[in-house]
Amino acid sequence: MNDILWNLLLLSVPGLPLLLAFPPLHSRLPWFRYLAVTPAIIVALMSMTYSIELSWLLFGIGLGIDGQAQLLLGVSALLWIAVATLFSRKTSNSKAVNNLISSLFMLTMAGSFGAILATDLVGFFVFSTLMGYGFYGLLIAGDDLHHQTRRAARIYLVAMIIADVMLFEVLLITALVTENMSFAMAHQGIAQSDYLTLYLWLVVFGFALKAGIWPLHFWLIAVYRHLGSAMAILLCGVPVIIALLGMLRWLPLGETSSITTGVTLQGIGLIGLLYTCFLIFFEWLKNRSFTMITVYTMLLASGLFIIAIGTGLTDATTWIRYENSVYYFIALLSLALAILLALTIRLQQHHTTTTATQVDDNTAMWFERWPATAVAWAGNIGSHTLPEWRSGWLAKVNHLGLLVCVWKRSLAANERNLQGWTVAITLFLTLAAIITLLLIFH
Amino acid sequence: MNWAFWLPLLIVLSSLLAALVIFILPEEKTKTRIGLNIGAALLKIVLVAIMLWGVHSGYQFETRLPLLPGLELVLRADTLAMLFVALSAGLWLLTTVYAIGYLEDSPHRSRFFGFFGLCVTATVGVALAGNLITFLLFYELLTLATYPLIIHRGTEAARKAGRTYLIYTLAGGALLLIGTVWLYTLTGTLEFTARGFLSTLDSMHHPALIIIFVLLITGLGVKAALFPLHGWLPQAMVAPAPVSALLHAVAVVKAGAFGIIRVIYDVFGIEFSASLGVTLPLAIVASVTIIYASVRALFQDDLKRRLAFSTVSQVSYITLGVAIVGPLATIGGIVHLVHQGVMKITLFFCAGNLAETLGIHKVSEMSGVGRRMPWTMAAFTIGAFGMIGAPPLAGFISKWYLGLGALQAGQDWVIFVLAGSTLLNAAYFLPILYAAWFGKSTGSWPNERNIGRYETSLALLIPPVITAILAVLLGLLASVPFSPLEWTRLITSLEYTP
Amino acid sequence: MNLIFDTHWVMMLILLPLFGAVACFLWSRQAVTLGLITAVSVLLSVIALTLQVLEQGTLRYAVGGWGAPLGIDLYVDGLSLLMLIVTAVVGVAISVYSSAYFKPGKAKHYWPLWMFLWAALNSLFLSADIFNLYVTLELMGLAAVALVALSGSASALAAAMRYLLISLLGSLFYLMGVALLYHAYGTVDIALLAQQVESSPAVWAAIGLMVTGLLLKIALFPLHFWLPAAHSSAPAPVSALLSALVVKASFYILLRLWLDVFPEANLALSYLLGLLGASAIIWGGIQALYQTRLKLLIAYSTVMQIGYLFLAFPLASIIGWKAVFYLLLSHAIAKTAMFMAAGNILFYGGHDQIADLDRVAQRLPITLTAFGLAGISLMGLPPSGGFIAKWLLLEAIILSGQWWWAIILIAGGLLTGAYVFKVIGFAFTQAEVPHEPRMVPKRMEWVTLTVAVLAIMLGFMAPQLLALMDLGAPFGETMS
Repeated sequence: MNDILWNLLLLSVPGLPLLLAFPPLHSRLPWFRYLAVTPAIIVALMSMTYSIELSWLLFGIGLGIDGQAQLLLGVSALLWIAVATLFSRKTSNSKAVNNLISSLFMLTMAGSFGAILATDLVGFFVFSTLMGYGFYGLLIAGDDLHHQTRRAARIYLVAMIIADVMLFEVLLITALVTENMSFAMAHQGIAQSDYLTLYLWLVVFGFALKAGIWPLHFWLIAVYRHLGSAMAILLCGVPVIIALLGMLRWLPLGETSSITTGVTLQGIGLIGLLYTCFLIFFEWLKNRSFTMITVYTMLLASGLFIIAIGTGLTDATTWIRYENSVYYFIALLSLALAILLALTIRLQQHHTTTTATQVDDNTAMWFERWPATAVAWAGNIGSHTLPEWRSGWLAKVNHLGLLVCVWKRSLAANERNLQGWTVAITLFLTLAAIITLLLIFH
Repeated sequence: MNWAFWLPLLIVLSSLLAALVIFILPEEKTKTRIGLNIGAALLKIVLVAIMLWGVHSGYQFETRLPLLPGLELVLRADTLAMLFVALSAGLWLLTTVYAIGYLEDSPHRSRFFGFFGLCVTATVGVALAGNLITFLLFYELLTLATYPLIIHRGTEAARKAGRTYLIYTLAGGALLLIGTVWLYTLTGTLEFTARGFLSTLDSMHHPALIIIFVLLITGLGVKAALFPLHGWLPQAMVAPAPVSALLHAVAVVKAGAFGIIRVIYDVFGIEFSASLGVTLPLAIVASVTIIYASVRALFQDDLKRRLAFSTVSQVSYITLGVAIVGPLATIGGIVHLVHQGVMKITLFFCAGNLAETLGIHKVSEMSGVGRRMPWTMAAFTIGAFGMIGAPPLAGFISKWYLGLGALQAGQDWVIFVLAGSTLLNAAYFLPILYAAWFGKSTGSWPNERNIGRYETSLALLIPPVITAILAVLLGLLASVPFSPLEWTRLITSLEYTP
Repeated sequence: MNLIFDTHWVMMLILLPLFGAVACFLWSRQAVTLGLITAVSVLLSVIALTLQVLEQGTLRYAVGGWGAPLGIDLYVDGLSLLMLIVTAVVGVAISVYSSAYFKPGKAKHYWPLWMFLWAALNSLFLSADIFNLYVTLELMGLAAVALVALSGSASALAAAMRYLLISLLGSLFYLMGVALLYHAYGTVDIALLAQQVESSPAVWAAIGLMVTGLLLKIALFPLHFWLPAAHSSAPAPVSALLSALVVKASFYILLRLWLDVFPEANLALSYLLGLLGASAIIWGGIQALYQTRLKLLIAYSTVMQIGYLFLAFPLASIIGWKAVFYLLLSHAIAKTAMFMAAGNILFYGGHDQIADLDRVAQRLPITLTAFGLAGISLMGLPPSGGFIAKWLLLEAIILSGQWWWAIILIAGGLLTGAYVFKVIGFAFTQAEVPHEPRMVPKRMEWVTLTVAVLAIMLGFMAPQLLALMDLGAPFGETMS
């Protein structure tokens, strides 16, 4: 009996938000945003280790709760409650838009809870993808949307898709070496295979892109520039944190060590830290934007995180010792950043309501602008060259048509000639002669 | 002369007879026609269900009729055939419902539904064909039955599209014919056999076999829209939406892909084809198709054209899966036959709904349409994400097995093709979704029609919603017994020497 | 049953249409009824004959009790039996069709001529000697010419005149060949000649003359110049007769002579014939594609299909001959349906301009269906008689290793597809009917459809028909 209850409870953590994502359901329920968080809070408060295996779902998906997951789930639930409060104030005139936003909200929530609870790679991937797309929707779902936000959101989307493709390859590699896709078994399998280095790099790259870790941070900065407080809190609390969590879960930390990868990661983290300090300095000189500086703080934290991961990879035993503290680090990071962001954005909005319109992409440092330039350039190439290419082909086809016309006329003329008596009789007699000759000289 | 003999024949005949009756039905007898259509579709589903159960419990269903001395018309229900038959029977019902709603009050419905039934007959025949000549027979019948559907609208553009279609498919059919006859002269049999029937042939015939392979695959590749033989498909989208849906999801394109599967597995045998060295070039052609068509899709503003190029790209997944030699890739390829069908039919239904209800034909007109037609666009969204391969939808499963199979077979380059295709798919589908859900609606649409209390008439709405739900379930419940994936595993286990 | 097996159905087949012709001529008011009765009774006799032959094997019947070499022998094997069957089937269909097609004024000329033509055809297929073949050939030609002239228009008369001259010229050449052979061997009986003929200049000259004469009558490219005009200006049922049967009768003679009389070693000639056939396929196909009038298109299609028949000559294999013969049968039936369909369209719309066809085609769904089905058979798409023929022919080609013919075959199929669908495409365009149409009698439409369906059904009768062809082993012994 107790088992069934636990099963239901665990399932309802991502399940209830998913269910409430249906407009007919949530539009009839009051307080539905809080209702959807409830199972997560209950699970986070009960201290118990429990897991279930849904073998009929996809290739078999596992959900489980342990101390680490509980911590994250609790923090995340808190964040969601905060965001829900902010959201319930921010409503649009149109019912359709409200419904859409609510659905996206629920989907994102389900994704984030599911990812925290997932005990296998596929499950994590599924839920984090759901969360990613849902979050993208939330970013752009408002009525009054700054066009820069829209562009930034697009960059986020592209980054996320690329990251997902990477992680998909990771999944394939894992599936190749092990039957069981749960984290524990996958780590064992991958640690013994030839794919280890590839696996490590793909995972790090994929999640680093999702978390916006230097040097893949460009989308994060761009998105933050024009975000309201609710979305800003969500961004640091959900996609970024889930991505960091993903790295922790997917990497075989504490089970195997890969010195080169680890050291390289440490190096990257260090450079990232220095670079971010540099950025903060410039930002302070140029714009004095509190929000952006908070965002850069996040970059600092993620740089630290990468150094930690790098260390964990170089030495498995060290990792086991401070593994738990890393989880605390993420949890606290999300909370702290959320509060900080909420405060600064509030402050900023009070102080500079007039400058908001002037804020443009140009505010970014020149060395930060290259991704946008590259995207624009590629787009231009695509849209300019292809039509010409096609017109060339069309011309050729037309030419062919003319040729056919000429042929047609000459054929018709030949047929007319054939029908004249003189030609006909000549042909006939020639044929008779030829046939007879052929026979005789055979 | 018992059930095992009659059942395959009955399944083929159920739609054929309905079609013939519908042909001679006067235009104004709408009720009778609807009854016949739905009745035949339901009957077929029941028969197919019986047969599925029978095949699963090990019965042999086979119809044999003499056709030529030494050659017979064979209809046989093997596992692979059943997969395709079930797909076509199921989607036929939905498409019929949809078509009834779509063509309400339009002229020439008897003609339309007649050929529609013929088209399904041919598809089921293609699926059940037990040897190459039977396959060829129904394959050509399919060409003929689809042509009137494509030019149904009777406009100049439709005629042109029909002409292009014929030029391609008849030429393809001719190549297929030569290949088949040649094969027959070499072996004296054309019977589909698991793991092929050619491996015992003297090795001096191998060059000829390679040529035959090329002939057959080129012939089939026309319908499967392999690059550079895909030119007819984007043009054929001038057909009414239900036709496009059927064409892209079940009938023509799939017949080609199914043929490729048959030829490689049951004529040549996958291991023998690999030893002939013909699978790698095929895999490369399929890959090129996947990428090229996706790139072309990016630049289409016409919604159905974009979907058409997407089909070109997606159907080549099947070919790719087959051409990567390995059981897992095979699963991916064959299961995509079903998955792509369900997803693509959803997309085309939705495109048809937009065109029929709001007069939207172009992507650029779709801004804000999600608020006007939320159910339709929700179904569309699921279909599109499925195409991208987002988990846990059907497309994810296919892509998973394709990628896994490629790695298993040591053909790592395929991974890049898949990744590139995912990115491109996202690039041409997501802007549509973005515009539909988050774009500002620009007032009223070109010719908006007010249809009742739902966003559009129910006959148009229910089929895409059902297929969208199917697309989700096919992914989520992939490991459940009787799911296409599990069925495909069964098929695959027969094709590889253990 | 004894009645069936003891009656001389062979004689009945010649006498019945002859009597019919006379009766139609005498009682011209009841010509339609009499003609139909005759047609049905001929069909029944053919069925009876088939049963008889199936029971007793090949038949040789000496008219009046005089045997070869003096008397006239009638001979029935698989080849001639099938020709008789197809003639009877097409004949009945055309009779039904014509019963509604002709106005009484024309009917009284048409029926006697048509019955006479039928008698000539039947006796041609039954003849066992080359002189008899000549006589029947001449009779058939004369009847055909008269039928072409029946519509009475200036162009029809001109075409008929040309046809007459050609027909006479062809027969003349043939007759000279017969004379040479008779001079050399003192017999005209095919079976006897087959035993005696050796290679000698006289035989070669005879062969040359006979083959050329027949080619002219068959209208093989480039001697097809008379055919499109004659076939397209004749009334529809007559066009159907000419394309389906009359041309085929000449081919039948050539086939008979080639298989039995002519010595085997004429490889070069067979290649020449194959080459001409190939050219006919391509040329006829392209010309058909460019025609603006429906009946001309169908006539050129006949030119093209005749080309196929000659592809078997260079292959010289049993399966090749069978393929070609199967093609002949299915073409006869399909082409009948096609000309009938064209006749319906012409009847309804008053013209047969392809570009304006959409106005008509919309209103005649049955006719258009028939046209389409016949087209499928011509294209050689399954399931149809044409497909079986093409399959066999391809098989023969590949077995012989002469793959270039396969290219021609395929190209021909595609060309056929192109011109058939050029017509069918119009059936789907929406267009107004600008003039007062003349309603097509139901009978004409349905008989057209029936024949077209028969052309498709031929695709399912291959085992039986191929077995019939083996009767008397006209193509030589099967190896297996």
